[in-house]
Amino acid sequence: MTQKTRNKTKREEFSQLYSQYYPLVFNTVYSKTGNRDDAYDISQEIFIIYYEKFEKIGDNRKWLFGVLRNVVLRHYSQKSNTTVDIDSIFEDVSLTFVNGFRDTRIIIEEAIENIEISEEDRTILEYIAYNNYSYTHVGSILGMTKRQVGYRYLAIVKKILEVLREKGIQNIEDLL
Amino acid sequence: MNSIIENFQKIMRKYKFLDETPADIRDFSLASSRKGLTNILKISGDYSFIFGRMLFIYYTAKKLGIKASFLQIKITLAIISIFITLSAIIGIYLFVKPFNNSSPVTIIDKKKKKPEKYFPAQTRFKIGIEAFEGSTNEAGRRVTTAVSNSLTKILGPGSVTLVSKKNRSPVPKVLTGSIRQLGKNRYISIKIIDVESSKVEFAAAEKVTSENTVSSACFKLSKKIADRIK
Repeated sequence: MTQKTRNKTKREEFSQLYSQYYPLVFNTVYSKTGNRDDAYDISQEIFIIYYEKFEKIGDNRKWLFGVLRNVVLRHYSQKSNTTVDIDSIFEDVSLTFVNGFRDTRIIIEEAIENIEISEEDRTILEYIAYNNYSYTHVGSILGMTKRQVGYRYLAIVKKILEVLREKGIQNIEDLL
Repeated sequence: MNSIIENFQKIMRKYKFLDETPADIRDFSLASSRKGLTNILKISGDYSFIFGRMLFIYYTAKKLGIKASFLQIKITLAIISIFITLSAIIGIYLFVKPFNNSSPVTIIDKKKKKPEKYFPAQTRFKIGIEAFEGSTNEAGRRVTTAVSNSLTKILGPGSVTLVSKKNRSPVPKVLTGSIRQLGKNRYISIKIIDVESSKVEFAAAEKVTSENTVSSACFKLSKKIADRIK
C-alpha cells in the first residue's frame, strides 16, 4: 500500500470514528466547561491528537475520555493562574450518595461496564442513557433509523438487567 | 417493552448517570461535526475538495439513517458526477441546437480535402460537352468533336467528357451549343450551364464564314470556355 493510499484510508477511518464520537466528546467537555466555544476548541484539540494516534489505539472511547480529562485540565490551568483540582472538575457523583445509594450505583455501573457489547452499542448506550439523546438523534449520528436504534437500545438494556439479576437484583422496580 | 426502557431511564436519572445535554448544545454538536472534521483534515493536510464532497454525502446519508461506507460514497459520487456531466452536455446541446442545425461538434481535418457537394470524389472532369445541334447531324458532330479536342488541348487530358442530356451528374458544368445558318453566314453558339444551380454561367457565339474557318472558330470558343472555367 502506498503512502497516499494509506493516508486516504486513514482519513476515511478517522472520519467514521470522529462522526461517531464527536458529539459525545463535545457534550462531555461542555458539561465540564459550560462554554460552547471553549467546548468546541477543546474537542478540536482532542481530535487533532486523536488523528495522529487512533490507528494504534485499542479502546477509542477510553482513550478519548482519558485525553479529554487532561486537555480540560490544561484548559483550566491556562485560563486561571490558580491551581485547579482536577477531581473537583471530574467529581465522581457516586461519592455524594449515602445510605446504600452509593453501593447500588456501583453495582449498576459495574453491570454497565461488564456487559459484552460492541463499541457501537456502547456509544448508543452513552448517548441515550447518559446524555438523554433521542433515538432520532442517535440515528443521525450513527447512520441508523429510529427503529434500529430503539431495537438495539432495548437489547442493550436487557443485557444490563440480566447482569443485575445475576448480581441479585431480580426486579428492576426495586431500584426505583 | 417500553416500560423496561422507561424504568431503566428512571434508574439512570435517579443514580445520576444521566447528564442531560441542553437541546441547543446537542444541536450545535451535531451541526458542527462536519465543520470540525473538515478543519482537522485541513490542518493535517489530508483534506481535498473531492473528500469534502464525500463527507457531505456521508453526513447527509447519516441524517437519513443510512450508514454508508466510503466505498459506497465513492461509487455514489462517481454516479452523481456522470449524471451531472451528462446533464450539462445535454443542456449545452439543447441550448446550442436552435442556433446551429448541424452537429454541435465537428472535427475538421485540415489535411483532408473538402468533399465536393454534388459530385463523387472520383470525378475529375471539369466540363461535360453535349452534342452540338446543327443544321445537319454531321455539322453538329463535327463542331462537337472540334470543341472537345480544343478544350482537351487547353485544359489537359481527362478534363473534358461527352455527356448526354439525361445524365449530367458526373460533371460540375455542361457545355451545350449549336451551329446554325443565319443569312449568308453560320454561327456557332455555346452556353456553359452550372449543373448545381442549372443556370447559364456563360454564353458566346462565333461566326463561321466558310468551312475552313470552323476549326479556328471552335478553337476561339474553346479558349473563351477554358478561361471561364479554369
